[in-house]
Amino acid sequence: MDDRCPLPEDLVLNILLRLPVESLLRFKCVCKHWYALIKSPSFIEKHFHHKNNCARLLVCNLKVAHEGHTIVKSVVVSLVPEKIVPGVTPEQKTILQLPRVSDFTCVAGPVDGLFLVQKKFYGDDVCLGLWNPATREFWPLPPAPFEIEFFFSDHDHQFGLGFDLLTQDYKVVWIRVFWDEPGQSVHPQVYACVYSSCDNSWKKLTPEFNASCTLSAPLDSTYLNGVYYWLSRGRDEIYSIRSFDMGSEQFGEMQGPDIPSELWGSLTLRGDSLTMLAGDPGKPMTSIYDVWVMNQEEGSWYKIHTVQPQIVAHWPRGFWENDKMIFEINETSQLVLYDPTTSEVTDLGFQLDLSIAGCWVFNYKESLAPIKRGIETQGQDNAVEQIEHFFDIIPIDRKPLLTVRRTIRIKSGFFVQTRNFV
Amino acid sequence: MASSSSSSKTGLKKMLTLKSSDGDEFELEESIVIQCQTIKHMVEDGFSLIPLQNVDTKTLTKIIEYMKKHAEKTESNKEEIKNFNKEFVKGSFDDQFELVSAANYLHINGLMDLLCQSIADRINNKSVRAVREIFNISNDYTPDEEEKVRDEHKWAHEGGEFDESLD
Repeated sequence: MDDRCPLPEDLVLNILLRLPVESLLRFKCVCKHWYALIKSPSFIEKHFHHKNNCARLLVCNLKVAHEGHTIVKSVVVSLVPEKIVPGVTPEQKTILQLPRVSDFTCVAGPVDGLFLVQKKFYGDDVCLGLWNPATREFWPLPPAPFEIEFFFSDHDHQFGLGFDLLTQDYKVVWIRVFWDEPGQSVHPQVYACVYSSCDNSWKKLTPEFNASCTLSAPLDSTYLNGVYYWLSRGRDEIYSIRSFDMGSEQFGEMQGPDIPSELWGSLTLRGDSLTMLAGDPGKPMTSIYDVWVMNQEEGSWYKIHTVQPQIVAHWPRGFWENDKMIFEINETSQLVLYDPTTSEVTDLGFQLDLSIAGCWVFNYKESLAPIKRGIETQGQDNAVEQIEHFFDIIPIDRKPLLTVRRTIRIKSGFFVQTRNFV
Repeated sequence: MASSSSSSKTGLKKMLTLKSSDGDEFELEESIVIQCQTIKHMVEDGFSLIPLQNVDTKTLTKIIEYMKKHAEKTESNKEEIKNFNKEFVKGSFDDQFELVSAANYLHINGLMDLLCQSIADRINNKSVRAVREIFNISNDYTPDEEEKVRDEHKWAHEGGEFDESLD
């Protein structure tokens, strides 16, 4: 028999931390000790932050297609390799493909490699799910306890996904603004709930802020050190920052950067800093963007640089490697990477559907983080099936027997979506 | 002014002796050996003969080879060092484990990093059974328990062919 001593624990750890998520999930089968090690929160955290676990671009591309009188959506989620060679379209890896779904509204995150997905937009219909693409775990959230009256109409909503550092709990905060008594004097009301993944339940919150403020969705995740941030704009058009503390479950407000109200602005994360991108997007060759970064201790904002991309009409979609920016190109519907130091434009190889606000670009690192803490995980392996079920994949041979028309709102304007019932 | 700097100016290099667990002695320049944090601390404490009870001659020879090469590291020979590293990690798993344990004991961070990465790369596509053999781990699951753990992430076991070889 072999008399070799096994390696000391710290060396085994040092080796395992360098492996990708898929291999680690397989190696849970090696022995009970490795199982416990790979499942431990401290391992999961170290693995997520390990230098080998590089950030990559994850792109969610939503398209609509007309099939006769019906509209069918399709969603493709792809990963771009960590090294993007300037001028060379990278080879993307598809990680999720939903060819015909009746609905897909949005995807938000990531926080520790987890995403929040949404289907439907109105009233009680809205469904949310948490998804870890690396472990292929998916968890549909229970319905939130919004008491929606028949006369309410959805005006706006925002999500925030974050982590309560004290209780080690993933939380989702959901803010909804409803207009009540439509046609008379308008009374926008703000409601909010928070979901805890430990309890798998929602709790009602009392958001003490004015419904006339509009919160805007960030370019990427804006969760940082236990707090989620949104860009807010009141009737006075002045930008400020709203926040939600995942631990204390309190909303907060703070000053935004001093930006002229006519400029467009959006929040994102850039490295470990809350960042605001402000500018006049869309104009060919002459758009100018300012990048502002918040000092977390002082809460003050600094302009760190200005970018004037020498490209045709476009819309900003995010940052890559601190200084590079991602744009969608209006005319060609391409997604491109722009390097301001060399002015080089790299096509990322996506064909977008600009008729719908359906492209999300994230800085993503894979993670072992479990969604279902304390919830029975058995028999929940096949996430693809669960996601397909969640988004209601329409089989090719399903014949529409009854067509119900519904209206859903997208980024700019309205369009009619038809839904088929069999 | 400082005596240590004047000695290097005159070309008088301070030498140290490393003694393996087999009793073999290796004489080396201090400037090479201080890559190793454990020895560096002993040198600072005034030792010049350093007994290494946990490192045998075979392993120590390899480690000295590594330290000598890496002491030559400059801006211009990066490619050469890269090729050296590539050759250095080519041994069997047993040899790599001996080396990484010694590097751990001696606190040679660069070598630890190199070896752990190489081992990780080599086991990444191995089967569960091969990994058990390589790490000399006995399977403490009952067949039922193992099946249950496999079922938690079935897809991770179905991603193509896994390497059953032990090298």
